[in-house]
Amino acid sequence: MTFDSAFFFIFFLSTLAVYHVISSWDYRKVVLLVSSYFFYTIWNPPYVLILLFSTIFSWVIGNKLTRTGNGQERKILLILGLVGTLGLLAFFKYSAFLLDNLIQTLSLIGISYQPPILDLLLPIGISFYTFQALSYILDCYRRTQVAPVSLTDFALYVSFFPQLVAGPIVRTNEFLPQCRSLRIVTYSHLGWGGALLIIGLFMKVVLADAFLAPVVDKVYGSYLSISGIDAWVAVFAYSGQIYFDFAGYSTCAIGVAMCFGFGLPDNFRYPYASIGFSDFWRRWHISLSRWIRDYLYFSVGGNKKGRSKEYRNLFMTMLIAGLWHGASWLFVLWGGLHGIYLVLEHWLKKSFNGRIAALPIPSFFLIGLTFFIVTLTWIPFRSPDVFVAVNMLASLFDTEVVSITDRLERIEVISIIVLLFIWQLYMRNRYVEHVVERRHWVLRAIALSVLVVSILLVEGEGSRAYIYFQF
Amino acid sequence: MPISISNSSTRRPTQFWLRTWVFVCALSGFSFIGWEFFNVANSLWRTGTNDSERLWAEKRIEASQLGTAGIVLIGASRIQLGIDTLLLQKMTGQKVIQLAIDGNPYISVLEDLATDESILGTIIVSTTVNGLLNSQNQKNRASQYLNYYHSISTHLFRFDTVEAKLTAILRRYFRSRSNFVTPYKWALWPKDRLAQAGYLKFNSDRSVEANYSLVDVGKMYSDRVKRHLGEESEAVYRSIPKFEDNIKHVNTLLTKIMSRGGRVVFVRFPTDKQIWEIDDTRYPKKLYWDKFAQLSIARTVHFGDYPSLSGFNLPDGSHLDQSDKKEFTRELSNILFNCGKNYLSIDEDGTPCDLIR
Repeated sequence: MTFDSAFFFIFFLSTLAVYHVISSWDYRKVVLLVSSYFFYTIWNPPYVLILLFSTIFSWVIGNKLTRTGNGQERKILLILGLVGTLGLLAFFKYSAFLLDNLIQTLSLIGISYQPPILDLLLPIGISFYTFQALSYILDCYRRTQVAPVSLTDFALYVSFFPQLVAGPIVRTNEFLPQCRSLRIVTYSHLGWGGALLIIGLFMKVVLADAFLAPVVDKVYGSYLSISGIDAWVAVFAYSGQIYFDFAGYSTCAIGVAMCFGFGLPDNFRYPYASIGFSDFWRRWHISLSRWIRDYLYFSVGGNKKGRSKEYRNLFMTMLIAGLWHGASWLFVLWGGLHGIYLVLEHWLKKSFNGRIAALPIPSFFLIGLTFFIVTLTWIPFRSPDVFVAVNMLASLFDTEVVSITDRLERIEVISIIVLLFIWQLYMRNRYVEHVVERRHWVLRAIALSVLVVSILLVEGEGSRAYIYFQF
Repeated sequence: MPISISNSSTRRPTQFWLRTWVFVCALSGFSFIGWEFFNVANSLWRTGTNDSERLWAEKRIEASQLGTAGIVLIGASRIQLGIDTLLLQKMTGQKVIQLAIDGNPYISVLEDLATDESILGTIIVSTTVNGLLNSQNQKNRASQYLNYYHSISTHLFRFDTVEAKLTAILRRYFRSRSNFVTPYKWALWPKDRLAQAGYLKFNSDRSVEANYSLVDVGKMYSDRVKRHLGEESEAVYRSIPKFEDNIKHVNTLLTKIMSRGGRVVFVRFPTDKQIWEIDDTRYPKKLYWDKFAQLSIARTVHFGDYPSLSGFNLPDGSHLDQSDKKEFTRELSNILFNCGKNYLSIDEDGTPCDLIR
């Protein structure tokens, strides 16, 4: 069930109605919990057991950690928690990949090994809810979460349906305090929450699916040689598509949660207006970047143990971030490239000790350069295999082959990307809420109506699953 | 800290939301209904709907529920444009499901049907020689559709079927919901492009009507020839290594289907003019198709062997115009089924027409 389905609309309104009819806070949480499990169950009933196991397991481990002061016992519990939660993720997400690589490595040294094929269906959202469950165990271990929580609250934290399958990845200190007392829901929660839902749907349904995705699919899926112009158009179109797709989902999630009175963390803050890659990762998939920074990068020493270790830690962290996205060497390559950019950026900053900042380079140029490099780096992320990625890269320099996209498609893509870039530049240091607040309510209503009608008229036209559902 | 813990956020716009949403509902409702009337008045809805993985998955689920008296069509655009599903249904008395995917190899779909024990009826496969070779190519729209189907086919309450029904209801009552022409396209697209894009009408049963009178046929034909040639300036013979291995693989799939009572027939749909010349130069019929016909354990029908199938004029050299669709369906049905000549919907005793083996 996705946010752009008619069924979700019915499900959301029914849950919202029941939630607001009930006055008891405890019962309201139960309504949300039952709805969340229903939301997950209709995707694949047996797999709800994995969610349930992950939830109960991490709750038990976390609560035990809050109660024991014995250092040795705490370490054992932590290891058990890591093995249990990450083991599930590794089994479902990476076992086929690891096995495939093992077979290929053995075949290189002349050993033919043919194990039974692991035909596992990846549980939707497993990477997201595993990280949330793990966050509780780690917080309890670090004593940032000191008091045990009830199973209902914890289960709701792991499975809250707006962000269950594609984030934002919520942290214990952001969500659990909100479960303590009745969430007050006013017209402005419903009004702005509904507006965010519409804005997110517009990004996904209209911009990503109806305009950009067809061009991307046409070029990346072409059996013919790809012309230079098509390759450039497709590469920029994908940059827009993945942003509108994922940021659209996050916006919907934040909006839906707000209608129930819950706040979720921002996940995107105009990433294509970043100055450099550290800035990019503070603006793109913020909830994942924070998670990886706090629990992984800092855990291995961060920047505290000298420059070479800092660079190693940065690079390794980004490789793992790449692998988090999927069991494929192309994702590892994508993460590795970002790791290299970050290392280079840190090296430049430290080596020239502020002298770069003093150079008369306009920030617009740096933003443009960052956007350009980030866009090119999406090529391995989007390509189904290495051959397509190499072909796409080579095609960027092609001047001969006839184009398979037509003029209007190219104009549409370029217009959307240029407008996106200008919008991101304008909004770089602003909040959309403040921009909306300052507009007259009639203007706000007209803008929302345009979005609603656009969604109604193009919904279903080449409808696609959310890109991040596969992660 | 840019975290919108909503109840304490100072960022949330707080003013006039009730009146804003009342206005939004009124204005969007008015605009939507207005477009709906305009749409109907100008027959814009006739340009049809678009294909989607969701629609394909819904049809795939239906295919599993057909039982023995059902026909599943697989292949690519030629069978979508060439078979009138309603007429075939009427002539054979069997439910027809269209699973062809435009521009995509079908082998992965055939593999999927072969492994599905509930596929017990007839499968009509539109193929070329080239189409038999694509089993290794997994990164295409067919695999995307299949992945989507498998990801939703285990849904409780068959969620996607429910979703598809809701969508169908909306499309039934609102023409603009099943429409290719949106206000954006109507206002900004050049009229000739709109007509070009609209020459194909995609039906909700996934069959397609092609109205070539709306387009510059000469240009379309020359574009088609260029596309068909690809990077070659002229077609040359292509040797297919291990062609018989490909047939063996197909036969393995057929064995699975036929061992549980299912029936399969391969049809080479017509192409003409330069398109056929290119095909026959690259993969000569005598060398490849006839070899396939000889080794295949299922029946094969090549348009070139049947005058009734080869006499159609194909405007772009590769596909049938909508005006020929019914006639072609009748002729093909006569060849494939044993009740076709009388154009009966169901035999007198009520049993559906059978496939000629």
